[in-house]
Amino acid sequence: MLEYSEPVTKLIDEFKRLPGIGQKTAQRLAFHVLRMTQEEVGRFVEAMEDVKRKIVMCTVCNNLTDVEPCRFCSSTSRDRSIICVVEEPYNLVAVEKTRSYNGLYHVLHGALSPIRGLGPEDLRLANLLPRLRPENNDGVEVREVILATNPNTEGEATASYVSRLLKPLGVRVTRIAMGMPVGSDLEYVDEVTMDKALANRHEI
Amino acid sequence: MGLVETEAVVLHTHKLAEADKIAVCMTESAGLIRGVAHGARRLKSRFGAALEPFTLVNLTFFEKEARELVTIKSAEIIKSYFDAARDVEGLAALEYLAELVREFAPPHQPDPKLFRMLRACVDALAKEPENSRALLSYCELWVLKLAGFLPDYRVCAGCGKPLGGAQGGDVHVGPEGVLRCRICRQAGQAISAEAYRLLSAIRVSGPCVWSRSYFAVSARDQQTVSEMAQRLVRRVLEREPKSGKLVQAERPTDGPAGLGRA
Ligand SMILES: [Zn+2]
Ligand SMILES: [Zn+2]
Repeated sequence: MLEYSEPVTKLIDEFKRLPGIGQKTAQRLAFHVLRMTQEEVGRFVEAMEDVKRKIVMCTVCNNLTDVEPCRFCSSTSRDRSIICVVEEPYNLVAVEKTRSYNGLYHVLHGALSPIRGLGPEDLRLANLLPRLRPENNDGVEVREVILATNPNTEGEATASYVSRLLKPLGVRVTRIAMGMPVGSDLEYVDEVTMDKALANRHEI
Repeated sequence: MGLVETEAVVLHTHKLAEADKIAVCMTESAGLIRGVAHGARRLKSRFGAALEPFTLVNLTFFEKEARELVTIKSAEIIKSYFDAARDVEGLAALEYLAELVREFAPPHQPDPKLFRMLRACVDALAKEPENSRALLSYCELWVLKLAGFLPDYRVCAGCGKPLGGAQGGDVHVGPEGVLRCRICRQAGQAISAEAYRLLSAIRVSGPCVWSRSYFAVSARDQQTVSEMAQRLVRRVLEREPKSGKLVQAERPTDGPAGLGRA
């Protein structure tokens, strides 16, 4: 293989650390950087540094934020009696896009995965239980916790684990429905999804 | 080479690029494969839930010469174990089994026996999650046996003379999990006739039958057999299994009979 000079190799190696980037893509990106102007590179570096400097984890809900506590936690118009638990900050965005949810969030920053060595202690759960007490929630009692972890094997195991922690506290714990994607066709659906759709059916 | 159609158990998946998935599968006719499933993470993907870990599927994939990664064309569910992995204990046990198979099966080499054992054990773990301590020992011993790492327990590892017989006290287990006779025993500790019988029964019993024999012997004998299996696994892998941590953490250990990964 062609040997690159040391600074180029170093940049390729750094790109390769990013998720979903292999040798070829890393090379392409590195050569793209070489073609960029000094000003463009400066902007790029500044954006990365800014994110690291300004974005922190909300101490209440673990969402990524530039203000502490985050916009959701400090908002006076959100319903504080309901908390939606998600795996990652970008999952929160998916719920928020519906515009039909007006409660608070809790971000776990991961899901249980024994094979990756990720256990309950690796999830950001420690600050969830204290939130359910009114004295830690602007005097509002939490009525419901919605578990919106991913509808896959790891997300299910995570939801079941969190529900076991919460149920003894007497709070209502719900799981988002699993079933048919809107706009799909029954003909092409697999039996697990169909089974969940049947189990989660509702009266109309 | 070319298009392959085979039964398979999905062992593990991870994300690739924007919408793809890599699935590690143990197949019946082609052994362990790693395949890319294009678009599998899209909402309306044709793979649906078929590539969730532990699903038994009819897999069709395309294999290219000298390419390690195959292309998964389709996966039809034969049996899903989605609900068996829905709590931490169930998930940890199944992932541990998947890890064992991944570690011990040589890639792209058909191993129909290992495939059948995997299929039976996934089914047993789903059906009897409460027996997973016994079932996982069964899995460990069988995976070791099929990969050629299980010593022949019928004879002494030192002198080769037959072991067993009526007097169980004559069989000794060494720190590395091999059995020796009284004369060759070195630092080993004697194992009971029941533990020895349990160990020998692995060759003739299915997972659920064996797990009943397992729980019929004393807690001490259960521990002897389970620890032996674990030691052998660790000795071959030269490390702790990755998913072993949670198997240990989540499984009630019932005192001395626990998995106790020391
Ligand atoms: Zn917050
Ligand atoms: Zn001997």
